Amino acid sequence: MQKLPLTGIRVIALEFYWAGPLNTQMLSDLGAEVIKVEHHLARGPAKSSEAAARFRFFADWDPGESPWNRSGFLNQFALGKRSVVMDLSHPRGKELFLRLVKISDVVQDNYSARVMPNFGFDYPVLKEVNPRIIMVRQPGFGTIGPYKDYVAGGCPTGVHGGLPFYHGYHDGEPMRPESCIVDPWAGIHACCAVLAALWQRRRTGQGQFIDSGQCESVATVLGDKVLGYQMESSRPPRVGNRHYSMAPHNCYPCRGENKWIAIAVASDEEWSALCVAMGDPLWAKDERFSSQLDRRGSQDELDRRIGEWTLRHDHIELMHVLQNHGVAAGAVLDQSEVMSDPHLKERNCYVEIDHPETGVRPYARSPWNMSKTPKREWRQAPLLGEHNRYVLGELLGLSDREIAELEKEEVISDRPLA
Amino acid sequence: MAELALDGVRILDLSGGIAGPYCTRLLGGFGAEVTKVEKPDEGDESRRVGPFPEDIPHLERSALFLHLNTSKKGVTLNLETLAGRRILRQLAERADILVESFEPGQMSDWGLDYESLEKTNPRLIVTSITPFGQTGPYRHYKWSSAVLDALGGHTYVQGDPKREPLRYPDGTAECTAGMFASVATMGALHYSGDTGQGQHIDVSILDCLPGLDSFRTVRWTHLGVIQERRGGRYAQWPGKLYPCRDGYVGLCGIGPTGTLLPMYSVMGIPELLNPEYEDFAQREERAEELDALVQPWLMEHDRYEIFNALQAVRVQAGVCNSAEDLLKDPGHEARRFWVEMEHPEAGKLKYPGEPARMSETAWQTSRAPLLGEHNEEIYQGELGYSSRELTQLRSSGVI
Repeated sequence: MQKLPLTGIRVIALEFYWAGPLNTQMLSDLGAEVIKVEHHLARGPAKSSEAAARFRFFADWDPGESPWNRSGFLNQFALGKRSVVMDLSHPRGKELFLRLVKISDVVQDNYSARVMPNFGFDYPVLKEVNPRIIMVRQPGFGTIGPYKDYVAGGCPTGVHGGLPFYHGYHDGEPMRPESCIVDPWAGIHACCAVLAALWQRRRTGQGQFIDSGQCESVATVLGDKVLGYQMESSRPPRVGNRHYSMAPHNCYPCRGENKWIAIAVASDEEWSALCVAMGDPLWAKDERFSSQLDRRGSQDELDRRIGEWTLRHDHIELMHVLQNHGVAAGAVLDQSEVMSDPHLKERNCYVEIDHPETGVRPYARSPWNMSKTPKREWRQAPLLGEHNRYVLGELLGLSDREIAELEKEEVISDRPLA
Repeated sequence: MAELALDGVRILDLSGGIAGPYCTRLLGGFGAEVTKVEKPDEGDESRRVGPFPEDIPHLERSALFLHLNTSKKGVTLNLETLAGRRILRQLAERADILVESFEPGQMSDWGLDYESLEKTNPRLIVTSITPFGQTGPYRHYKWSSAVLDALGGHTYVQGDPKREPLRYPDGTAECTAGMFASVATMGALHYSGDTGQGQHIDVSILDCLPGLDSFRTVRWTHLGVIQERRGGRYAQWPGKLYPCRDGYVGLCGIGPTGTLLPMYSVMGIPELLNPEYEDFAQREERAEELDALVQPWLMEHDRYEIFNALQAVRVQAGVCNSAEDLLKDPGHEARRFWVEMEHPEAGKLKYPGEPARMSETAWQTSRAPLLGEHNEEIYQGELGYSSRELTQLRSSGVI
């Protein structure tokens, strides 16, 4: 068997949506065995409504015969994981869960703070069963404090964490970031804490409890803003596409509909290079544009002039032309262009994986390349309850008859029950 | 004293800017011993970025530097000199992890690439964090945060559909890469803990962006749809920032199976009790109509009032906090998130604390180092140079 960084580590994942699944996705990519413990309705009901279809990203919009296995969003963040369905409100489900805790290393959840205690799975309970267990909890506002029971997906915690106040056009109001990147931030920070706890456990043999509030992940990223406020800096909160020191620095229109290029000029040398690329137009010799400070003072005019020039060019071709002149430029790529970009392609940012119900599709992978650790064999996301038998039979040693009984009592299942 | 999770792990940090230092800041927080190596006289580029007290630039007072370099010791070393590189090799022999962010090829020009360093320290992990990575056609391209956001597909989906697309605030791309690099580096640490074998990790900031936004990725890979700009609005209503009496609040609606009746009753707006507004698809279609109905109520209330009232009926709401608000937020306060530290040049300031609270191990925070502050401690105390040799190294511009 290949030795990967976390080979031999078993993770129980009680997760939904994004921040939790991303955390354990990385642990899985590092070689851990991640077992999603799911409720039979966790992936939605057996029959999907039209509204749900749009909400759940069913492959090709088609809920199909088994919509619970066709969510693109879920499948993206469950690569290589296993799935066991257990009813944790049933006494048998609880017992099986604790038996699984006994033979695992990490228990992770990103439910509201109250969910795990309601199941009876407080950290002291898990620790009693397995002193080596590392429990990582990721509710939006953490497990202590006045907001611990507040509901929070990435949107409210992102807002509350502070990012949107700093996001927006230089002349506009704060704006919610389109993608909740705060969800992944929370997941990545939580993953760091798990890896650190696993390292410490090598010395002590003891696990621990990790409370990873998503809000704090965001506030951590904004540290310079928080210090800047205390320093009474006059820097405006939002600069949009502009920059506190560079000019020109903006998103400029290109040929075609909704095509744009980002250009960032950090020095007078780069400004000269941009002028050469533009064919040394007369307007650029104006003294209003001669130094970085002058250019920053005349940005509206500067941006208009540059925009007139960029408009005549293809956004991707122009990026290469400018880069060859020594100017930092990046075409504003839409998702199809991102996925066909030669640089990202060469670096294998996406991997093609076959899934029995949704076919071969590209998936984003953990963004790092390690020279000595063997390459991970990519596996598709599990079907709901696909590993019931593996987990209950192979790992927990239940007999076929016992498993059949659990099925009959609806403690386990491989489909949403009515 | 509580234990440190990464106690005894030694990190040599040659990185500058944001991504590398963010990575080592996290590792330092978890308890690793980080020695930051900076160019003599100039130091890390983030020392010149600010913001600064009263906007006056000063190498020791840049907020960006002070934030990203907590829990590190600082030495200066000129890697352009032979002597500097010899000292670096000595430091690398004693390290578990080396983090660097030079342009691809620079380390090997200096004879300090992974293959060379591995010979004397096979356990060493070298993490390279660069804008475009070590390989690929763009690896020597010029970059800025804005350029990476554009190429990573972040910019295309941000902002007003009627205007130019909008990048993220500066540094978000780099911080994201720093976090991922920290995961990868600790992953490799576990690998070397088991096998005694270090390795080279290649992290590209650009690589970290496309997969990060899985909404637009999955829309394309599973639905064949290119996501467009929506002006900061969510599909599910209410899903944007709304102005209120004293600022802004963010509201995030509810999925197809949820009800908004409790929110409607808190707001006490009779028009909202229209059964059509209980339908997910209808809400999405008639978002602007609904916005107009709730806006007057929001303007009559303060943001924390709205936050608490709506959360009480389990509506996803958050306050659009500024830095000033964050420092006062009762949640952060109760969790004692901010850590106050005194810095000889920047004074007393509150810094972000632990991003994850751990029950058995402490988060390590000490203020960022002054330029070359620990030269004597490291070069004399650890490598055994004499004070005369140190003076020579200083006068010849090596440290």
